[in-house]
Amino acid sequence: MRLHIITICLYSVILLVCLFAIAYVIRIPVQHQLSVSDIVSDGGKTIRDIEKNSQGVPFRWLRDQVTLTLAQPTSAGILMFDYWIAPNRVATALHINATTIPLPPTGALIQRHIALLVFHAEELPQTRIALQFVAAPKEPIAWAFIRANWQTITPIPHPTIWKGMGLLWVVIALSVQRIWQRHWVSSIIAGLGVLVVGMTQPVLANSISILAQNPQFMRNGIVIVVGWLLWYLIQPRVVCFLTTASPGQRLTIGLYSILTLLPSIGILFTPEPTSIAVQEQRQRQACPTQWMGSRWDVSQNFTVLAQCVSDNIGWRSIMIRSKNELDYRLFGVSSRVYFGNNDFYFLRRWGDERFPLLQQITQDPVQRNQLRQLIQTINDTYAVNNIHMILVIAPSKDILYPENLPWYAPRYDSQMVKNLEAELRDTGVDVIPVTAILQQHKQDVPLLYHQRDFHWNDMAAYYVAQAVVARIAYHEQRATPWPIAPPQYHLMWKSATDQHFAALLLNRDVYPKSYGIDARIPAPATWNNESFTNQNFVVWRTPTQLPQPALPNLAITGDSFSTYFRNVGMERYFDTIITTSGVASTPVLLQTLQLNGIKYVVVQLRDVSLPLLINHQYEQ
Amino acid sequence: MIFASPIFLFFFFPLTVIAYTLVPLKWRNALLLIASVLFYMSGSGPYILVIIGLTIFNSAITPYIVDNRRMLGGAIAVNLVPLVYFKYAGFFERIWLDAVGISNPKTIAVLLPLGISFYTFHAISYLIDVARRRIPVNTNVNSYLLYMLFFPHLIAGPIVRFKEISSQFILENRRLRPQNVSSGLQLFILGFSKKILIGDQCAAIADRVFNQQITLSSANAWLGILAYTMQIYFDFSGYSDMASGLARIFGFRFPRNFRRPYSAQSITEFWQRWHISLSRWFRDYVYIPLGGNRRGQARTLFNLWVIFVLCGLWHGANYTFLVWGVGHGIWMVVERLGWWRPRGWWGQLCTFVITMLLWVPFRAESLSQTWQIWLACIKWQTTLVSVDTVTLIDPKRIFLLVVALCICCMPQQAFVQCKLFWQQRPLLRASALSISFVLAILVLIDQGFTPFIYANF
Repeated sequence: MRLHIITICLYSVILLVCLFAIAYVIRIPVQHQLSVSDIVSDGGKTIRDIEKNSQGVPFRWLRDQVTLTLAQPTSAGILMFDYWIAPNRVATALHINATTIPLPPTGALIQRHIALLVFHAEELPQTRIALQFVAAPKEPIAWAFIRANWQTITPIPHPTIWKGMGLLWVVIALSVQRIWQRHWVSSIIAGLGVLVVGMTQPVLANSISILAQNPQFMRNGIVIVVGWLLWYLIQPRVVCFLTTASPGQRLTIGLYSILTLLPSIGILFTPEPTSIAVQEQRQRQACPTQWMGSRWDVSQNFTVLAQCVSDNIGWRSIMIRSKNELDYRLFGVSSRVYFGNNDFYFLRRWGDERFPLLQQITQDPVQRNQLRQLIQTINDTYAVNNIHMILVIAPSKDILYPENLPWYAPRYDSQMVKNLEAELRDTGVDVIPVTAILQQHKQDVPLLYHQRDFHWNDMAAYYVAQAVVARIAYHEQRATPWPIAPPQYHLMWKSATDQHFAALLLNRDVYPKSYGIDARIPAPATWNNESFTNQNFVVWRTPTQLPQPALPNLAITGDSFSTYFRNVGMERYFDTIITTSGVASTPVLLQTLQLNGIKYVVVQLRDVSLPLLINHQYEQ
Repeated sequence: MIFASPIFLFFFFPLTVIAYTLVPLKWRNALLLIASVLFYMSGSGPYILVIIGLTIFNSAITPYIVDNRRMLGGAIAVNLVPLVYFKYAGFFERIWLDAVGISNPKTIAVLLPLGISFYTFHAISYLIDVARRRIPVNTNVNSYLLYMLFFPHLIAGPIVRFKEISSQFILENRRLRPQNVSSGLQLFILGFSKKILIGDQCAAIADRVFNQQITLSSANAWLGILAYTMQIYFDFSGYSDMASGLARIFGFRFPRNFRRPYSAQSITEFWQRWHISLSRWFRDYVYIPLGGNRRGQARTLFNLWVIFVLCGLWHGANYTFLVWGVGHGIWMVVERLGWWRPRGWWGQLCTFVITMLLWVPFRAESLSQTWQIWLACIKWQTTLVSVDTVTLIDPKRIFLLVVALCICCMPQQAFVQCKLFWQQRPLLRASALSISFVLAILVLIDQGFTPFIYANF
């Protein structure tokens, strides 16, 4: 009997530890948005009604000090909000709860975007975030609130854990009853379970209504019941079987069973929340819904099913994160990124696979010529349609920041791309020497690339955009210096793509040191999605008079790097800018460009995409 | 379906075991048969008909082949027809076209049924054993079907003889016992960990070299060969351990397939340790019938050489496998003639290096690639180390490669002591294996599963 009690206690302790471990690891993200209409009073004093700016964005003037209140209790989260400072005011710092954050100098009425990690020492029934702008001169109206997004990363509340514990105790009690026929032991344990559930959920009706209204909860409950019934059926045999086993044998069989059953049961439960899903640069395989091919194509259908199981196995993301964490802790490596110096991440696939191919192309005259001809063909196609092509080859972070690569990462010479640019220039292609430009400005700003993201940042895009505008102005025989002052950059929290790929277990991709540079210059109008000839484009059309006569309309074709041009004030020189993805000058694209009177097109490529271009596998 | 896939690990195998424990004793063989058919059909679909056809034919023919060499020859020939058609038709056609000088030929392309080389050898061994009265004619078709189709050995062996497991088809001899289940699981986990934690990691290095994704410098070539040497051992011995472990859970005992082959001090010894069930098959069913070593030295050497040529061709219908087999055959002849007799650590090192170099044609796509890699190894072709060499040697890969090397090349005495240590501590062993199982699952889920090398044969 003593052995039974010890076993049960041990079992409960293990369960408790596991549940707390899960509670520590799994966090429920909740997205909230506060709009201006949600703030009806500011500390008991209503300041102003909702107003709309010239772009139709609603906002409300608030005092220096205000408290944002969220209904959801949270202990940590990311707060992002848009604001601007009233005229004749200078904001120097922002107090959030007890923390002071210095603000960069900014002009009045210039919209700013800020993202912050906020922590609460204790859990409150509501999340209250006290904001206070340190501004001068001291006046009631200080800043305009537009909107705030709040993403909580709150751990599972303790009552949930207790509820889970209570239910498990009930299950254990039933198992004890079944195994040892000890009615009083099982009654005590079941009673404890019911008590715990009752304490955490005082009104039983609430629990029933929650169950009835939550189909996922119901499904999980059914899975538990079916699983328990199965266990109820086979456990006498299992117990009989295990009684003859030695402790070592029991351990092996028990652990193997648990480790095997956990993922398979997990696949039946609710899918993992998107916040912990690991980005793998691929689509996960969906489960087959119908038979494919002939009735004999068993293996083909089975392959899809096997891939589906592999992609949707229970706790998959947590397992991948755990594996990545182990790799990182034990060896300091990842299969997806290189962990570099100074907090830099580098995409490993590029360093290991793409750069060797690029090197091979640049060293092989035949392939180099083939690539040159491909680009030349694109250039000629545009030229025939009276569109001047400007080529921008964005270098990778590996080229710009080789000093941050770890010792076991390959290093490639930037001259490789520079030579290619020079050769293309010799054949008549208008090429912007991007690598040289960025190397020249590398010391001017703290960063040209995000530390944990493979993209360049707004500052790099700014320097390249400046060169592109200057080149177009040169062709138009206009002396157009870049009149806008260099954008103000400041460090801010950045959601990092490479960090998602590396996906460690403990940092949850929310890493406060992962800063980027935000250099947004407010645009006089917004970028809109427009559709031409069944293809989507992002278009900017000026509604107002530009600071100086506009340059001819411009199109930008490229990948995610070219989206950064939208942030840096490039639109101030053009009546119309059209951006789209892809590199090929398709008839549809040409038709659209001609419809919009485009005279110049910027074709943006990445150096690591050149091998794909030559193999006709260019990806967006 | 392969053993190291999530669908097998988390669904097929647990469900089979649960069903096996729930069904009455007399239905257990039938259950294993159904599971085996499903297992095979998941990978090869309609080709299950080939193996079932052969099984029915063999069951029907066996009463007539006892002491009848002509009938036995005919039966073996019938059994070889699918193997020759599916595996060698294209190869023979290519040899013919090469001989008549037709370049860039369109050869016959037939999808190879899974495990055809293995189940053909199972079938032939059964026929010969019956014909020679080593085993009685089996009248229970179910037992024979299960012998042929039993999923643990179906895809890549080990090549088990009917005589070795015939007594285990009797259900009374095969009750579920904790010691069998536990040791079977431990063997399975050991094999799974060998495959996933070491084999597949070494494959990441080997594939980059052999798939020509990296400059072929001397360092890269040697690293690639070393990685493949480790990969093939941990992959295939891992598979064999998993197969034996699965079989043991259901109460079957399979013969051992590996005995630390890289610790061999000669190529002769290597073949006594590597893929033992195949070596034994060739010895008993080809070498000895050819005369073995009883007809003088010249004939012995010829027989040896023939065995290795056949062994090479058995692995694959390609010139590269032929070169691999011939290479081993020549080296065996050299050792038999006494021209090469190193012993001790020097012998082990030489044997290891020779084996490594002979794995090159085994893995290479073509003879020209084989030649390039060999040249890169011995000629210090272009550079000793290229700029991309570092991509092969990140800390984790190097660690695992060193671990693999230590395991393979550990002195026998140390190995025995190590084995004894674990055997005397069952709880520690169970815990350590559970940890390695967790790690292997994490790696499997992250990196996906790769087929076993020998599943292609």
